[in-house]
Amino acid sequence: MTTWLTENVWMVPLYPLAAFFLIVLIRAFTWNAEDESVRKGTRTLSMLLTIAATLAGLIHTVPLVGALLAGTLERTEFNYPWIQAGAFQLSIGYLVDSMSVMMLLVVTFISLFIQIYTHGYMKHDPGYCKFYAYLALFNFSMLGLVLATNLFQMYIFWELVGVSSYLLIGFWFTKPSAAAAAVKAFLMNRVGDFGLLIGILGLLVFTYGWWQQHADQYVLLSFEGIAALAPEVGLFIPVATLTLISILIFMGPMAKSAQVPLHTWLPDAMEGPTPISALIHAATMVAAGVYLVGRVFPLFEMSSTAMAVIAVIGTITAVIAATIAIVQVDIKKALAYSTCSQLGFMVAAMGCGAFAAGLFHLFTHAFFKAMLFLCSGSVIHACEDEQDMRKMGGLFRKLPVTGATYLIGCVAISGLFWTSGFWSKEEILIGAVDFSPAIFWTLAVTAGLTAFYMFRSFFMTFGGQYRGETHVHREDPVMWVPLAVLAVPSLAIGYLLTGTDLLGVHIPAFGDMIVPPGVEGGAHHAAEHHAAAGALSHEAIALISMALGYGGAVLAWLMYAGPLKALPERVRRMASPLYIFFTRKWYFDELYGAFVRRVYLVFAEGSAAFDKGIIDGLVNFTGHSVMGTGAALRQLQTGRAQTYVAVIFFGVVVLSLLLIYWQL
Amino acid sequence: MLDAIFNVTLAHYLVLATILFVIGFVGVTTSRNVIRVLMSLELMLNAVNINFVAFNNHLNPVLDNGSFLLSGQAFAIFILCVSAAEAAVGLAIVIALYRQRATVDMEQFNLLRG
Amino acid sequence: MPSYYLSVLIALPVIFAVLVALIKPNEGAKNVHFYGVGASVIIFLFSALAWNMGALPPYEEYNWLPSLGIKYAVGADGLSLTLVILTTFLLVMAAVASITNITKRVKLYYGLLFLLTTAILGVFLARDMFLFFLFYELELIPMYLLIAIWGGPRKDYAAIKFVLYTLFGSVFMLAAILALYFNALNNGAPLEGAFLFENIRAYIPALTMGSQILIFLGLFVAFAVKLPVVPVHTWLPDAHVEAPTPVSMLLAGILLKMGAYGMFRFCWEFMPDAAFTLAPWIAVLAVINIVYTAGVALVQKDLKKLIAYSSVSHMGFVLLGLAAMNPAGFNGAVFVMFAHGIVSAALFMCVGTLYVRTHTRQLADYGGFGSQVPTIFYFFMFMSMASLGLPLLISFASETLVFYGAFTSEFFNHLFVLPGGLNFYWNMQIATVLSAIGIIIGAAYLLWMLQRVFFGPLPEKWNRLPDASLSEVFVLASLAALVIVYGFHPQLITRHFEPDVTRVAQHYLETYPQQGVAEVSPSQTPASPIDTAMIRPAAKELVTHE
Repeated sequence: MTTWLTENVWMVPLYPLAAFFLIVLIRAFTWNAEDESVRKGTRTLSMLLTIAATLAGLIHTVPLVGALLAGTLERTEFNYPWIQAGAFQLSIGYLVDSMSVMMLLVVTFISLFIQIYTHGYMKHDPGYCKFYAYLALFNFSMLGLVLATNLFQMYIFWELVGVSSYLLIGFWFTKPSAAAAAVKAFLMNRVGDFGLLIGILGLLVFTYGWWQQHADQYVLLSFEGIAALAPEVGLFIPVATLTLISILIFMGPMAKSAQVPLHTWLPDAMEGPTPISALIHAATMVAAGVYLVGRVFPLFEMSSTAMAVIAVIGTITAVIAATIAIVQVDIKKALAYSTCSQLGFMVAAMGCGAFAAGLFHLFTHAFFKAMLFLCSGSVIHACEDEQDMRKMGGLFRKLPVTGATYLIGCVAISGLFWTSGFWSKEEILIGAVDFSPAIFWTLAVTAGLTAFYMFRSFFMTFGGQYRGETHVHREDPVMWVPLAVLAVPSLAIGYLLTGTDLLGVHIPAFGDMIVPPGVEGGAHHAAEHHAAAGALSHEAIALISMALGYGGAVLAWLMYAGPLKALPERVRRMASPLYIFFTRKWYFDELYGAFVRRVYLVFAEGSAAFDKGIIDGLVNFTGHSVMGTGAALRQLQTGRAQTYVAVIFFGVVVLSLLLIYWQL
Repeated sequence: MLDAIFNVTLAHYLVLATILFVIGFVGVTTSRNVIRVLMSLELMLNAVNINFVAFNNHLNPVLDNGSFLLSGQAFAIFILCVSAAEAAVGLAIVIALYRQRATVDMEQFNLLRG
Repeated sequence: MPSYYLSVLIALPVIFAVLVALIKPNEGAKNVHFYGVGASVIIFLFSALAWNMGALPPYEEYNWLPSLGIKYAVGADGLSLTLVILTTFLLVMAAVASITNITKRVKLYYGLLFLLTTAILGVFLARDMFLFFLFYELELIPMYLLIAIWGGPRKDYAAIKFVLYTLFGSVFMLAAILALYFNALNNGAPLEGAFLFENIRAYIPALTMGSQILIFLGLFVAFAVKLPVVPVHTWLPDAHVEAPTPVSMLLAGILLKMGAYGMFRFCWEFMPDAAFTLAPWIAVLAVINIVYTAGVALVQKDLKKLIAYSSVSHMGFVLLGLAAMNPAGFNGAVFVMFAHGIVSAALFMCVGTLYVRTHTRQLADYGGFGSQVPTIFYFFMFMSMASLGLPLLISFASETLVFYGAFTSEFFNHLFVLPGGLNFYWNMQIATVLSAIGIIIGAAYLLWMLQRVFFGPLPEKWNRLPDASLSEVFVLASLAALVIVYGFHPQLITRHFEPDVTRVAQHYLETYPQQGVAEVSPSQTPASPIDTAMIRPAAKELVTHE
C-alpha cells in the first residue's frame, strides 16, 4: 500500500491541477449563465472540486507520514526526460523522502482547512469560483515544488507558485493598490529568480563534466546528485566562485522567503484576500525558500562564506521585520512582518548549519501562522473589512473562538510554555549559539520582540473596549472550525516531534527523521551539535529564550491592556525619529522607488529615445536624403522640350570637341 | 576675292548649311509657337541635307565599274521623306494639342516637368 | 505519399488564391470569409499529412533554367517541416481572425494571404538557393499590399519602409548567393544543379576565411533585417502598428522566422567556420537585442508597439542560442522560433480584439478592462505569462534550452583590453547573465502593461464593450492549447527538429576546441586550496596570447 502510494505520489499535485482545469472548463460554459441555480451549482462545484482534490492529496499523504514516523519510508525517485537536445537533457519527476513528505503534509493539511475557511470568507465575492480555481492552481504548483527531484524542476514550480501568488494578490485587481502589489511581488520574485537561474547555470557550467560522467546515476541537477557532488565540488569550482554561485542560488529563496533586501513585496501582498495571506504568504509558498535551501544544503555547506552570508541575512531580516512589526497598526501587515521575521529565523538557522532546526521551525510555523492569519481574516470579516487595529478592541467577547485561537497562536509564535514554537525556536537558538554568539543574542532578543509585537496585536484587537463604529458580526462555523483544528498542531506538534511516545507509539524526533541529503543517520541532529556547544547549555538557552519571551508578552500586556496604557504614546514621542524610521519600513520602498525611477526608467526612456531618434532617425534620414537629392535634381527637368533640345545640342558639341581635340 | 566667292567650293556649302542649321536651332529653342518650331526643325533637316549632298559631290566616290555612288543624295531623299512624315505627324499632334489646350504656345506644354 | 507532395503543398495556396478570385464579385463578405477559412483549413490539413507520416516527404528536383544551373528543388527536413506546420497553422488562425478584423475587399485580401503563404512555404522548402531567393523576394509583394491596403493611418510609410528595409538586406543576400555560386563553379562544380544547397555547401570550405566571413556577413545582414536585429529593426514596430491584426499575426508569427530560418540554415549550418569566428559579436548583438528592445518596450505608449518590441526582444534569444553553438543552444533557438510564433501571434490577436472594440491602441486610453471583458483579459494575461516565460508554457521550455545552452557554451572567452585598465572578459556566460536581465525587464513591461490595460477601475466610457466573440475565442483558445500542450510536454515538438538541429551542433562540438570546460580527470585532481589555473587552463592560455 505504502509502496503504491509512494510510487504514485505524482498524483498528489495532479489532483488540484485536474480540479483547476475542470473549474476552468465549467466556468467557460457557464460564466454568463442567467439561471441562478446554474450559477450556484457552479460555485458549489468549484468549491467541492478544489476541496476534494486537496483532501485526496491529504489522504494520499497521511500513510506516507505514517511510514515516515514508523521509519519505513523508502526514498523513491522517478524522473522523466522533459526536454532534450543531444546529450543535454532536463528532467522532471517526483522525489519522496522525509523532507518532501513533511512538506506534503504541511501543504495539503493547511490547504484543506484554508479552503474550507475560504468558503465562509469569500461567500459573497463575485469571484468565488475563480478564487477556488486559483487555489487549486497554487496547490498544484506548490506540491510540484515539494516533489521536485532537481533544481531545474524546482525552478519550474518556483515560478509557478510565484505566478499563483501574483494572481491571488491581484485577485481584487480593480483596486489599484492590489494591482500594484501583485506586480511588485512578481517582479521582486523575478529578481530572485534571475539569481537562482544564473546560480543554477553557474553550477552546471562548472560541473557539467561531472554530471555527464554520472549521467546514468543522477539526473542533471538532481538534489541527490548535488549531495553526491558536494564533497568533491572543490575539484571543479574555486571556493570564491562556489560562494558566488551559492549566493546567487540563495537569491531565489531571498525573494521567495522575503529576506532583506528583497522582502518588501510580502507586506504589500497582504492586499490579497486573507485566506491567501494565510496559505501562500505565511504557511507554504514563502517557506519554499527555506525548503530550497534545505534541498541544496550540502552544496551551501561547502562554502563557509556563503553559509555565513545566509545566516547574517536571515538574522538581519528577523531583526528588521520585527522592528517594523512593532509599529504596525494594520493587523495583517503586523502579521506579515512577523512572517518575514520568522522566515529570517529559519534562514538564519539554515545558515548556521542547523538544518533540521530550520525545517522544524518551518513546519511548526506553518500551522500557527496560518491559524493567526485566518484569525485576522475572521476579525476583518467580522468588522466589515476593517484592518486597523486602532479601531478594534474588546473583540474577545464577540469572537471567542477567534480570540482564543489567536492567543494560542501568539503563545506559540512567542515560544512560551511548551507550544510548538518553543521547540523549534529552541533548536534554532541552539544551532545559532554554536555558530556565532552574536547571531544567537540577536535572535534571542528578536524572539523577545516577537512576543512583544504579537501580544501587542492581541491586546489591541481583543483586549480593552471596542473602538470601531461598525457592527461586529458573529463568527461563522465554517470559519471558526478550521481555526480550532489548526490550534491543535500549533500547540502540540512541537512537543510530539521531540521524540515522544503517543498512545504507545514512538514518534521519532524531527531532527532524526529529517536529515540533510547525503548524510546518513541523523548526524546533523541538533542534540549532537549541542553536545559540542561550549558556551551555553541547552537549559540555559531555553531559560534565556523563555525569559525574553515572557518579558515581551508581559510588557505588551502592560502597555496595551494593563496599567501602562499611556506608555506607547510617550515612547512614540520620545523616540520619534526611530518611530518614523520603523513606520517607513526602513525606507526600503523609497529606495527601490528611486532606483526604478532613476535607473530603470531612465534606461528605458533613453533606449526608446535612442531608438526613435538615432536609429530610426538615421533610417528616415537615408530616406529623406534620397528624396532631397531627387528634389534637387528635378529642377533640371523643366518639361520644356526646347531646353532639352538645347542641352542635347550642346552636349553633342562638347562631346565632339572632346573627341576631336583630346582624342578621347 | 570674287574668285573666292564665285568659285563655289565645299566650304561654301558647309557655311550655308551651318548658317541654316544655326538659324533652325535658334528657331527651335527660342520659338514659343509650335508651328514655328516645326518649321525651324525643317530648316535644320535641310541644312543636313545640304551637307549630305555637298559631301557626296566633294568626295565623288566612284565604284570599280565606273559608276558613281550617290549615297549622300539617297540619304537626303530619305530625310526629305522623313521630314515630310514628321511634319504630317507633328502637325497632327499640334492640332490635337490645340484642341485640348486651345493654344500652340510651347511654354504651356510642360507635362514632362519633374 | 506521392512524390510530388511538396510541390502540391507549395502550389495549393496559389490555386486557392485563383479560386478566391473567381468568387462572384457581389458575394457577401461573410461567405468569402467562410471560403477563405475553409481553404486555409484544407491547406493546414494537407500540410499536416507530412507531420504524421514519420518519414520525411520526398525530395523533388527538376531542371528549370539549365543554362544557369538553376533547378526547381524542394525538400524538407525536420526543421523545415516544423516551420511549415507553424505557417499553415497560423494561416488558419489568421484567417479566422480576419472574420472580425477585415471588412473591405475581402476577396483580394484572401488572394494575397494565400499568395503570401505560398511564398513562405517556398522559402522553408526550397533546396535550391536561387529558388530560395526567389521565394524570399516573392513574399514581399503580397505583404506590401496587405499592409498598404488594409493598414492603419500611416500604412504607406510602414509598407514602403518594410519593403525597402528588406530589399536593402536582399541586395547583400543576392551578392552572397552569387559569390557562393561562382565559387562553386570556379572550383569545378558541374553547371547542372550549381545552385543546389548541397552543391553550394560542398564548395564553401574552398573559400578563404576572409571571403567566408564576408559572405557570412552578407547573408547575416539580409536575415538580420527580417529577424530583426538591432539596429535594423525599426521597420518592425511601424509595420506592426499599421498592419491589420491577422497580418500582424503572420508577420510576427512566420515572417520573422524566415529570417531566423535563413540564418540558421545558411549562416550556421553552411558556414560554421565563419559563424565560429564571429560568434562573440553575434552574442553582443543578441544581448543588445534582448535588453535594449525590452527597455524600449517598457516605455511604449502604444500597446501594439509594445508587443512589437517584445517580439524583437524575444528574437534576441534566437541569436543567443545560435551564438552558443551547442545542441541545447541550437535546439533552443529553433524552439524559440516556434514558441514565439505561437505566442506572439496570440498576443497580436489579443491586441486586435481590444482594438476592434475601442479603436485606440494608446495605453493611456485603457484601464480596468479586466472586469468588463474578462475573456479577453484571461487570454491576454495567459499569453503575457507565456511570453514572459512562465514555466510549463511553451516559451519557457524554449528559453530554458537557450539559457542552458548559452551558459554552458565555452567556445570563446575574449579579453577586451580597454584604455584605463577597463579590461573585461566577453564570453557566453556573461552574455547569458546580461540576457537574463532581459527576462526581468520582460516581466516588467508585460505586467505593467496588464496593470495599465486591465487593472484598476473601469473608465465610464468603456462600460459597453462586448466580450470576445466566438471566432476570437476560437483563435485564442487554439493557440492557448498549443502553448499548454507543448509547454507541458515540449518533446512533442522538439522531437521533430531535434535530430537535424543537433547534427549541426555536433559538427561544432567536434570541430572547434572548447575553452576551459571543467573536465573531470583524475590527473587533474589538485591539492587544496584549489588554483583557478588548474581548473580552467584553456581560458588562461587564451588570455595570455591575446
